[in-house]
Amino acid sequence: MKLVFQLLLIPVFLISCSSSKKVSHDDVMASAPEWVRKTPNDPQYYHGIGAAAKSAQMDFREKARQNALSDIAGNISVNISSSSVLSQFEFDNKFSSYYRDNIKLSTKNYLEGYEMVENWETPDRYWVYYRLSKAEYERIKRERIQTAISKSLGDYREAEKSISAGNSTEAIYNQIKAIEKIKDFLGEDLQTDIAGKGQSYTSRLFADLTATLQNIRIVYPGNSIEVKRGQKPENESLNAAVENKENTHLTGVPVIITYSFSPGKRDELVSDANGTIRIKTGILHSKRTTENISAVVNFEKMVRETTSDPVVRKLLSNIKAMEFVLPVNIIPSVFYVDAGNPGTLREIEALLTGDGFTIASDRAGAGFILSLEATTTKGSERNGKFSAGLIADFMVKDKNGQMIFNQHITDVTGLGTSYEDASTDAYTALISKIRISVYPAMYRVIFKD
Amino acid sequence: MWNRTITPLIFIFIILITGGCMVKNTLKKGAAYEAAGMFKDASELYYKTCLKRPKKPEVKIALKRSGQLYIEDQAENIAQSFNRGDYKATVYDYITTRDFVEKVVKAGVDLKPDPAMKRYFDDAKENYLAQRYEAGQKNIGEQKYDEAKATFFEIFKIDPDYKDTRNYLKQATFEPIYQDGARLYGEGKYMEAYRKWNSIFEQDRNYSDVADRMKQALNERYKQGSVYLMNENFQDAATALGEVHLADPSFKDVKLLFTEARNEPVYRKGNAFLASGKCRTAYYAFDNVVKDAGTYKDAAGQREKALDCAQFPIAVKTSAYGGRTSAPKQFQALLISQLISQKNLFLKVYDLSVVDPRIEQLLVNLSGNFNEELLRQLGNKQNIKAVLYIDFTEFSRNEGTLTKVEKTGFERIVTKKATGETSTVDKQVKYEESSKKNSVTVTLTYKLVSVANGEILISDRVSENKKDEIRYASYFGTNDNLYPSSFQGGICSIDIGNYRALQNLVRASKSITSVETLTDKIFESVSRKIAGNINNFNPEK
Repeated sequence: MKLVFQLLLIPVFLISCSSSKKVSHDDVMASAPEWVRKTPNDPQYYHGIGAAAKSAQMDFREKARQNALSDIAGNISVNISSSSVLSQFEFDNKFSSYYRDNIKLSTKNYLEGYEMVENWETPDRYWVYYRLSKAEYERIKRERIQTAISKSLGDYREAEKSISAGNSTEAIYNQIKAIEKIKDFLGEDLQTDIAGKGQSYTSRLFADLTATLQNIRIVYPGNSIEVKRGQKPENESLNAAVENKENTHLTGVPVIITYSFSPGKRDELVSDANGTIRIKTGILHSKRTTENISAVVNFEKMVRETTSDPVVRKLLSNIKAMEFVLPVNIIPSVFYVDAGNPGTLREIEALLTGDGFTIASDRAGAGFILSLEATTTKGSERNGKFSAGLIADFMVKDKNGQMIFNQHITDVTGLGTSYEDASTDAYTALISKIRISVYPAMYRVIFKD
Repeated sequence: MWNRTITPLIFIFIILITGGCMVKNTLKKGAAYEAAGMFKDASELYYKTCLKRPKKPEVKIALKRSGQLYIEDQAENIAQSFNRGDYKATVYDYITTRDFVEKVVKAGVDLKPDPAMKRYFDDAKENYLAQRYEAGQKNIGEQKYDEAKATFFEIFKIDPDYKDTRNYLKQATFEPIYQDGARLYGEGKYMEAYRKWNSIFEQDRNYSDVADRMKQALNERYKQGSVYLMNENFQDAATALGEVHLADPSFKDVKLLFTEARNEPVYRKGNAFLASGKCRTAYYAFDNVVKDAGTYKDAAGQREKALDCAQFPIAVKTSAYGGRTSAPKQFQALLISQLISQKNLFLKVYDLSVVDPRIEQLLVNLSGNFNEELLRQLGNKQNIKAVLYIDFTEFSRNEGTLTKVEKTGFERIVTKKATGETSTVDKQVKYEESSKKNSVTVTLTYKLVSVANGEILISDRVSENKKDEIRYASYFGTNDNLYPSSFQGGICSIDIGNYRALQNLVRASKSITSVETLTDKIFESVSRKIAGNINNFNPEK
């Protein structure tokens, strides 16, 4: 019975695994037209062959057509003129490759004048053959260049007007638009006539844009500012003017502010109707004596807002706005330290100076009075070892006598070969405790919270 | 035979067919995915099959085709995400694609990724990592370490050498632990602080001043332990010093102090016990100290003193039973042997008849009462502390007789004819059934009596019974053919139903345990029980 069952299984497996079609791929392809097997080489045309698997889930004819157009676009060579603006920004051959990648993508979208020559299909696959006359392509391309320059010149003239009116912001936006209009031809040497003078149009646009951008200045209220370390600045914000070289205040200019004392902090501001930006420094904790605030026109944002074209964006990323630096002189807080034990006093003063604070020789000259009151008590004695306990109060008052930090320290122990030794050891332990936990807590409370 | 050879062949054939079937199914399923434009799913399917069936070129070809289409799709996605400024998507799509291309190499397939993808990735990476790096720096500045860690870890995975990522990642990982340690140190939880810092130290020995802080924390805990010790708070001292010792056994004199904290209270108790005459307890205390600390103070000498003082010599006496002495003597010898084998340091065992035959004769009168004067004499003259007295109250040994009964049965003879038919002949026969039973019972009481005052220190009654019996059948014919008979209505007939029971009797053992062996077993068991109880007896409790 078992054997019969096993024998029955064999045909079941054989049936389940057998293929219903036995026609070979070579048999099918033998009847395919020549263009399916080999791309035509008529030099008058760009040729594109596209194929797609037949499927109910997608429009395979459209897919094949797209593939054929991609094939045509891939065959159209992208030349970059050595006198084009692209060549000026070429450092390591990366940029031209990048430009070619993008141009091929856009070429496919702008292809016109192509014609379908033939199609062919098998039960499961569809082929289509398109071609585009090279002469026709060149004609259409020339037309497109003319149209692009014409549109671009419109923006260029608007930019000229804005510059004359002292509106550098608007001028920059128009100059970017003017470049965007000719984005597909940045690899060409586009000659045009401006103010009766024939010149390279693209280079002119870039030079003008660079000049307009670099004409913008960010002017601080002084050559430097002074800020007390760890304390809120007297003025909540620092006002800087955004203007051009003609001292015209500029509205709507995006500016990036960075702070050398706060890595990663970056404020993106926009100049207001008076051409002013308000910089908020916040509390400085830097241990250095000088830091700086940097302001730079957020040209990247202006580009981003004006064009989404990756080539234009990438090309314009080579144009750098000027950086305006404001030195910040940090005035350290002044402490007067009152600690009975000379060793402890020295250590506390070292902690403070290590953090950039200044030590005053008298109370009157200090912003903060740090006092440490500590007493030791005799502990036990055993086998020639002595112990001592220590309690202390670590207090910081401001110059008005207001208590701003207070910590009562109880669990400090000293060991030694005499009570004096043990007491000294307790003070050493106290210093460790202050360094590891009390001082950082004080710093947080006074300067950070 | 045919069946045994063919069956494995059929299964091998089926396995081969199924293997081929898997390839065909994969190609069929993959083609469906491809037709739907699901090239990733198709590629994954082909890839898995390729790994299982590396010698199938059709699967490899399918993987190369769909894999190439998949990465071309990805190239388009990457270009699109880059162009719309979605740098994160560009970066991660590229990484996915790159990993895929590297993965399929394992299946022997080389794909040709569009070089433009790498250019987009490089550009996007530069932008994306710059953003993330800035965000991470900001998080560090705001002490948001978890966020910073996640950010820098993400950067690290994309480009481990990006700017100062390694250091920031380290800072984001360690700084909260470092600060936690400082907080715990401030709260006087020195060992917890130590452990926090140590967890950093194990990964980066040079992180900040973590090594120095660990020493500080250990030192503070050491001082706490030392002060506890000075104040004779041995338990807390042992805890504190033990923690320091565990962390660093060579820290100052912590080993010495920890030893003292552990052993001093035990040593002191030992002395107190010795002074109060609890020598055995004192011995154990000193022994613990010696085992733990070796030469701590004069613990070894005190232990010897305690052992000397804790000695507990006992004399064993067993009464005669019914005028017979041999069996009680045999039991006593066994009991003494068992007591010695306990290896009890304090117990010394003597046979009273050897120590003082006179006292042995007179110590217990016929009523079973002890002569206190003789007990005292044993204590004074022989330094005996107690007498172990065994009194048999029952000792019976019954050896049964072998009973034999003749029984009627049938021997069934089956013969096979040349024609293939069988014939059965039942022949009436005689066989013998035999049985025997041996048994031994012992009941005794034992008492441990103090020689000092006749006090009964231990008393118990032990009773044990052991027996053995046999029952078997003997037949001089062919045992397997023997059937029992039944007798009903004057007719003796074969009893098929009880065949198995009779066969069991035929095969049953014919040997029986002798009463001597049964006695030995009882003596062994009872003496072990008594010796165990005596061994566990502590005169100080």
